[in-house]
Amino acid sequence: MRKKIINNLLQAVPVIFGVIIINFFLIHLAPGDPAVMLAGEEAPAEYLDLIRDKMGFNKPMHIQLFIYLKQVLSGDLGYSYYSNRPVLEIIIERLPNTLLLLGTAFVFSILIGIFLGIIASKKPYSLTDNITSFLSLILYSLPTFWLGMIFILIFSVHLKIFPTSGIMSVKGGSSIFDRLLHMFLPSSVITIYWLALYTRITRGSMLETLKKDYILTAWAKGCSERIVLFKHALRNALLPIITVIGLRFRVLFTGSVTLETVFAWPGIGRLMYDAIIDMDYPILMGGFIIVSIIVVLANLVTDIIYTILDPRIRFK
Amino acid sequence: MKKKQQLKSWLFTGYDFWNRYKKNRVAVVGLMILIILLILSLFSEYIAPFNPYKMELTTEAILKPPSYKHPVGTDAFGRDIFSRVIWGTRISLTAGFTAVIVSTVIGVLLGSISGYFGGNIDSAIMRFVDMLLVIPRFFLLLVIVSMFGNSITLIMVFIGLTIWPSTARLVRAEFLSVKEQDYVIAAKAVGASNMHIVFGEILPNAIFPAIIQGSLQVGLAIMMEASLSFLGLGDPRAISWGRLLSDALPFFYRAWWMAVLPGVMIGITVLAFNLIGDGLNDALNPHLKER
Repeated sequence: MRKKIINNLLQAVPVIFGVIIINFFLIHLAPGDPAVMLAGEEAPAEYLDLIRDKMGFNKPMHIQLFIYLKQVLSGDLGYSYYSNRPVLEIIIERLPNTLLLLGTAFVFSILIGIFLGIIASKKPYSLTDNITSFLSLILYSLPTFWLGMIFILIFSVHLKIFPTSGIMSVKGGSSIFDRLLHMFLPSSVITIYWLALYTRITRGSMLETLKKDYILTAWAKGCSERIVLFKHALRNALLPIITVIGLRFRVLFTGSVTLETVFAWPGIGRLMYDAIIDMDYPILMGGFIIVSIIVVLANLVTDIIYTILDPRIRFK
Repeated sequence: MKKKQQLKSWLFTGYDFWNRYKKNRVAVVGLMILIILLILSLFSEYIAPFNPYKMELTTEAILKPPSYKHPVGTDAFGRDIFSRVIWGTRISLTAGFTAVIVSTVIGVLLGSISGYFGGNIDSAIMRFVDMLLVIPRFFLLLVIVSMFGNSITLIMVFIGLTIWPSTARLVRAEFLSVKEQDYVIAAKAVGASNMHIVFGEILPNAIFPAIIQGSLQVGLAIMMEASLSFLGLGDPRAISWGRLLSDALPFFYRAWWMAVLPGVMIGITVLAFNLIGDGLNDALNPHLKER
């Protein structure tokens, strides 16, 4: 098992290098002067020279790549040309907000999704199953940002239950209750979208597992429904679900850009949106690198959990 | 005589395929939705009641709620939203199909090479595919589109360039199993060229997963284009559903009608392609169903 985990670790490293190298080539392939791309259109000539010197733009390509790799790995992602602050600092400031939103949705969608999936698989093609499957199919096809807009219209504008946007109220915004109120709509949208997927996957995986001989044995020896479903079936059905959860990490962040834009949630997604509007390339590239690293690490964790959970790998 | 026989066998294959496809009723619904969407996009000029670009900047005309004249209301420039949504069908569908064609061509080519030749070529391609499958492609897309420009053609190609890895992987897996079949070994034994074996013998038997994946990816590509347009990275001249939602964002507190229909259309289209993908899966992989 230790060998497998080390192997996973070794596979994660080249991906992070790959992301940095892609970024490096994008800087050079993009139309225009790479120094202007890193410093902004309005940068003074001295600053451009400084950037050229720092990035070694007059040196051969492979040395430039080496310089760039060294810089990124030491945490230097350049400066935002809109706010003149280090990119890494800005991203780290915004990251907790996004992780809070995504983390909440992540936990709830898995718990509710697996629960609904089990219910749906209990009696396949029954009314409950058909309704769950149909709803999850529809919810999975809707754009999350549109669902967000509709939720704001219904729950904030018309019913006035939840605030429309932002992370806290201007007055007395420090209370936890206020935060939860602001968090509710955006995190429910993500939860609903993810829920749809997990319900489908759980249902499929459970149906597959329930056909197995050991389930028949469990029924035959008189186990209760709860024991058969949760102890015998779910444990074995969980593995494919975990794989899908792992593969979906990058998609989680995808939705965050559009959704945080709709809800004016001050996370990394909204930061990307503002960077698009300001044409702030260092932020865009920095965001890409940081999010990639997070996704790679999250995948690594899923792989390790998978290894621990699957006895077939554990005892090899 | 031979031609006639060939035609007959093709017709039979098509009929057989349709018979298996139509067993999945929901997939037939998906197909019907797609046909309606295709009609909307081919004949937008005749179906849309108004010119989608025509502005009417008077206080009586802008941001009007649904009425008899404008069934879905008007936007901030007095343009008819219903007409704009119909015109949006054309751009959104074109974007979806073009991106998937790009992605399928690249995916099938690299997947075939990887699966057929194996060895170092295979591991090199697959390492690259694995990397692209892990990194958040939408963030990559944001960086690329904001750097290289946002004409609708470029966007379609860029989306295609970010979604091919899953196709490549599926095709490779098919190749690995098909290339061990007797007829491939026979073709090799009689000295057929690599080109003939890959494209004439293996590919026709290994293409189905790529077709199924393609139909699922059309929905994905449409969603990606909509997200890009929504974030203001779309082609400013093209009317797409995402663009309409982006137009609606500043006004949707007081003009909800601007936001509803474009989103519903995206949802219906993505749903249709997902259903079709399911149906194709049942029709092209009959052994999967029986298991």
